[in-house]
Amino acid sequence: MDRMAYTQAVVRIRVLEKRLLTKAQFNLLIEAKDLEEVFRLLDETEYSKSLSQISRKEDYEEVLGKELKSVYATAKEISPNHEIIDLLALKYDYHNLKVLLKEKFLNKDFSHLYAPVGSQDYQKVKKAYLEGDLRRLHFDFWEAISSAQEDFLQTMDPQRIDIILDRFYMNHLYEMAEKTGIDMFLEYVKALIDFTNIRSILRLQKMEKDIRFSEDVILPNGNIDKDKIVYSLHDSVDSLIELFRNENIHKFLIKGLESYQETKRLTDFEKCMDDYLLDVCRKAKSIHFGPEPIFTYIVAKETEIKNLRIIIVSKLNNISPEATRERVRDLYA
Amino acid sequence: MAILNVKPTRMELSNLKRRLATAKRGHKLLKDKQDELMRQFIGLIRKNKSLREEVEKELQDAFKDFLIASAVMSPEMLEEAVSFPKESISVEIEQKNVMSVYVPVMNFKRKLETDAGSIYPYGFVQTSSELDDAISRLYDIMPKLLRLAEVEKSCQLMADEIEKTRRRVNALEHRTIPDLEETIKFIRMKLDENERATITRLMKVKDLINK
Repeated sequence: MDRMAYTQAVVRIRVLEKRLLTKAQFNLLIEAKDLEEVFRLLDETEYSKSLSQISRKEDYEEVLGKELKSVYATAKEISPNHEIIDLLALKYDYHNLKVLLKEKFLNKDFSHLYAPVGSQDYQKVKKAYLEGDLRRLHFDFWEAISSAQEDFLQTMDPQRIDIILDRFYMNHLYEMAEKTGIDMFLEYVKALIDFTNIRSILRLQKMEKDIRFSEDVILPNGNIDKDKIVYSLHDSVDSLIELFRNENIHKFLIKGLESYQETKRLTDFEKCMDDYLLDVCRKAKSIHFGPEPIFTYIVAKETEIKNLRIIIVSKLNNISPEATRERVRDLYA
Repeated sequence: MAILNVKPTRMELSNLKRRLATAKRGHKLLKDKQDELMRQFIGLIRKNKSLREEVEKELQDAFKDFLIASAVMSPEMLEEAVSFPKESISVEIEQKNVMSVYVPVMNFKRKLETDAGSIYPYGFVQTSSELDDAISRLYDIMPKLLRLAEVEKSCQLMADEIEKTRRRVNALEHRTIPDLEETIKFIRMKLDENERATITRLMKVKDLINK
């Protein structure tokens, strides 16, 4: 990959990064007394333009959706190489595949559930699938759809659609990250896999699932060996903390696990997970030639949107600022 | 009060007396039934109230959990995750007889009885664990919700029955029994009157003969 090709892109990203919401702005948003105030504060930011286009405050999803779409559009425009963006857009592709399969098997209209961002145009994917012409798709998608479909027809278990597609998604993501040859991306994906795996184990414990089931759910390719995680299914949180004390991600992981032990809720764990992933991306701050800053910008923006959603939903339902603050993720800036 | 439209004969009188006795016995029985129904109804109503408050509070909490889940996940992914349920639950309804009122007894029948985790129909990569919490909480409320439905329906049926019984008791107490009593009194008076008339007539005849 030619790092010099990104010179201009990085400069443009640096400008865009300046427009991210700051910590002070977020504090004001969290402390705002009602939704009215949140929207007034947002009116002074990047969001003012899309805000003016909605008539009801409850349509905030539209604003966030539009913002997400425009983030990807800008990134695509800036970046000389789309693979970096596809790394992050891939989750929407697989989400769309899940919707597509469920739509077909349930014979219902789920057109409102498709995510409009994604590396592939979902309309095209849908058309190809319905016409039975999967070969027009990327090989990985083709393989993912046909295995999920085959499995469903055999087991009639909708959960397996998700599980299989999730597995294909992570494998696909891992391969893509490997192909770019950039360490940061690989580290990001590996950390994502590790955190997801450990979170899954904790959730499986709560659901009282067996080892066989967890074999299917736990993903390979992480820094932590798959078997090590699978066989920790029956371990207590204490021994999990001991077990993973020496992993790369331990700092955030242990924090998340300890809070889980206390509260029996994974709220903090998920926050730690997102915070760590953003932390991985922080390396891009000192990179001036290369694709990392573009990737990081999208991650930062997605986090921002997530935070805004948390704040708005909390305000809509009168959840206290403290409880909101618990869930709001760290900021990149 | 009205006197029934009957002929004042001895035959009718004994008929009416029999009816009065039946009516009084019926009245007493119905009155007892009403009291017992009332007693059970009040207990049920109390239970209903506390259950309802409990369920409403828990539902509120569960919805709050759900909202939080919807805050940390994008709405498309959330809806996709729960769009295709894995588990199906049906309700089995049986009858129970309480004071001749048939009240329902409901039970859940889960299709995947053995799998505790079958209420979560989604994968683990793109979903938040907050969703697990919300769903498990909603699921935990279900049995209580069913109990509430059962009790509420029972209350409704009992209330109907109580009203019906009360109407019967009142009809007996204020209408049938007084009417019967009055008619009996009337017939008796009429018969007595007849008797007196006969005696007088006899006396008169005797008098005439003596003269």
